Amino acid sequence: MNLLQIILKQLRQRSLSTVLTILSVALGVALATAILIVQREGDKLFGQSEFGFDLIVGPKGSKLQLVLNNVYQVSEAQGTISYAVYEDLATRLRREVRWMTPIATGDSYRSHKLVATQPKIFETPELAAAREEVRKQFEQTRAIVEPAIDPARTPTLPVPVNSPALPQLFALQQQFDAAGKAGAAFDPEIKRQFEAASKHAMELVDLLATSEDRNAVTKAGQQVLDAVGGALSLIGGPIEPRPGRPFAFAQGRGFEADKFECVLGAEVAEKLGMKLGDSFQASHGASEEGKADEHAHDEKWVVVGILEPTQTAFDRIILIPLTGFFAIPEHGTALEAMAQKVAEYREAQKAETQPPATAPAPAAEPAPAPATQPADEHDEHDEHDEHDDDHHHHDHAYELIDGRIALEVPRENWKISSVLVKSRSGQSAMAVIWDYMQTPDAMAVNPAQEMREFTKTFLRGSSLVLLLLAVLVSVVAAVSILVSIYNSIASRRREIAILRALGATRTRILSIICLEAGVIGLIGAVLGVGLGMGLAAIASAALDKAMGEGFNWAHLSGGELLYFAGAVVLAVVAGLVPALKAYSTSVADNLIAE
Amino acid sequence: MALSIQQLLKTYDSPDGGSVTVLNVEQFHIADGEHVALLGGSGTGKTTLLHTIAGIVTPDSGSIAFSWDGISTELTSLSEAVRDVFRGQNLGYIFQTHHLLPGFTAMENVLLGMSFTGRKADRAWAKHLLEEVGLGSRLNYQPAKLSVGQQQRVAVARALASRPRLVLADEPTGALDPNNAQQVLDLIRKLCTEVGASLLMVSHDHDIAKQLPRVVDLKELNRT
Repeated sequence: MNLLQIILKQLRQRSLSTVLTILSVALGVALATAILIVQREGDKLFGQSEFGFDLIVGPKGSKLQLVLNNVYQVSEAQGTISYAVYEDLATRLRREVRWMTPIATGDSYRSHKLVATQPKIFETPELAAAREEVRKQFEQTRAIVEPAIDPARTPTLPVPVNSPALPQLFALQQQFDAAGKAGAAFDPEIKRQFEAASKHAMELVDLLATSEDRNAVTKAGQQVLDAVGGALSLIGGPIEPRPGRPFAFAQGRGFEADKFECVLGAEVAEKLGMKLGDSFQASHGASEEGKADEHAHDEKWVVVGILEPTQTAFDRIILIPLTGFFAIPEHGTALEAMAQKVAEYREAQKAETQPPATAPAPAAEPAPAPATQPADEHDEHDEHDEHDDDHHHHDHAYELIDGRIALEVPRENWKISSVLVKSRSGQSAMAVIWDYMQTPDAMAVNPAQEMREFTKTFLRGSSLVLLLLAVLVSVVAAVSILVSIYNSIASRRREIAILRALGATRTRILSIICLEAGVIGLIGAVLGVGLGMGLAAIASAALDKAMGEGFNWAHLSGGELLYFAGAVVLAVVAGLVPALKAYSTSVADNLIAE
Repeated sequence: MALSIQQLLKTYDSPDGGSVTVLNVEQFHIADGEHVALLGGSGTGKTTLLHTIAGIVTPDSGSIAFSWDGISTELTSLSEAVRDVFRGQNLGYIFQTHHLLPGFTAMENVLLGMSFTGRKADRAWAKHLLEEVGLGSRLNYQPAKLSVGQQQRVAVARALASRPRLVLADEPTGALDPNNAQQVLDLIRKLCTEVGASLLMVSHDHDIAKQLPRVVDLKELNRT
């Protein structure tokens, strides 16, 4: 028999004590393993720099909440910012922006958030082609406008009537219209930028031909460049939730900018069992899973696409077009007050039922499209929050023309939750953050930096306390090994004497006892690591449920392996005390004693 | 293996502060392959003598020399650890009570006898020994499931497992009825002959002792 067989036999003889001791070791190692995995993976998950975007521009307030809301889709948005912030980023700060997309939230469907944005979020060959076209437009615009406003190259104002700049600017202005129409499919703001560019191009032509005012010419030219450059930053991309991994479709396509269409995250489709063509009514705020919501909006969203999993919280949301979001009257600024008044109104109207005068046609059924309603019917409804007592207030923020939403909410009333921005460089990101520190209503945060701060101050502190607890449990386990084996030595004196009589040296006896403790430590540590990984898996599943992102609980790194080895060594060291007692056992005395 | 003892002295401290001489053997010799019985009652120092020859107890003075195949070893000059290894490789020990390890089967107890020899465990030899002692059908029985006689036969097999050159038997039949005692004695002698081991058996039973070719009266040998 070899030493290990002898040791295992001895352990089996004291199976109850052995099992209990192994369990105590396993408990300590399990706790430590789970804590180390959660700490490490939590650091990676929350302190990750692997966001596709490096800036979130949102309302002033808690930076952490802004990040949690936009990256992990947890908690409600802490407020809104004016849509003008998005326009501002696209023009004034366009040089710092590689790509950006606006985000508006507020509705949900069966506990899944509806996140409104622009169709450009889905990278397609058409979008890439349009982006390339805008890039060319920008280069061409620079090539024409910069010399025209450069005093060195255009020394005299007004320019001669045969100056080539004038027909070139005319031609450019024609192209702006076409580019704007093409870009509108991906972000209507692109069209508006090209419209502005077109307008400023005409001003520039006029000024170049008639004015001697150098400043006015320079300003108009710069406005053309800003507008086309803004269009370029608006169509920049590809937009990616994780670097190098843009959204991809498992089924269907992206939503159109002006229809009540939606795209489901992979998990939403799987959990709710929804498929292409299905439709649903969202409700305001966080709805509960499986419960019908009496505050459901009238508008029906039709599923046109289902995304491939991204392993981010985007898997748990439903993406809708921003125009559709603005079309829902409750999303106005006076929402809270209005909701109260609507509730009171509904109470009062319980008795008398009045059919809606103009119900919005579901987007899934664009034909027959309702006729354009007379403008005079709608003018008075532009400010939807003025219609607290109007039973049909849902119908007046937009009208449907050939199944497409024609918004009647003025742009100055548009509110969004945030803008996700990928800056051109670290320096650009700092410039944007600094810029918004000077403004009263919005702020820009770096999500990676915020999450690193969060993990440093919260996760690491609490996990250190838990880790100390785990170390204590392991020390207690080591003491229990010591006590268990020490007590067994008293009843094993004769066995030890017999082994010595059979030729075992004192050192061999010492080894047997230490190894016995080591085997207990090893089995306990192996069980503990398995158990710890199980605990981490549970934590991962819980986190995935809460935040849409789990972590790799099956991966063991240096920390866990070190603790594992430490637990075994600690067990062997704990075995030394009883081993020394066994070492000094008198053979003759114990062989004679009966 | 031959054994030669010269001027062997062993004393213990007594509770009153003095010392008690338990062994005082002037000269004792066993030839290679010889079977010798030491006859003596309780308190004659027979167990201490065997423990001293086995290297379990260190004498105060004297010489214990073993020789075989032209090799000779002086036990008292060896360190404790080397004595342990020497014992494991060359000596077999049979106790009055079997001293089997309770959690181990008959086979495992016999294998344990080979565990400290530095040689590979020989299961076939262990099985052969257990068959020789009549326990071929009880290889996997734990000691508690065997009779006292059977337990002692396992102990005999264990003592012979390492193919020792000298077997020391301390009252091997003392706890057995006459019938079992005779069987065990016959087995010890047979197996010692089979492996070519010398045998030194101590017994208080004259009838048992006289069956060996040479009987030495311990009272005469140990002049305490």
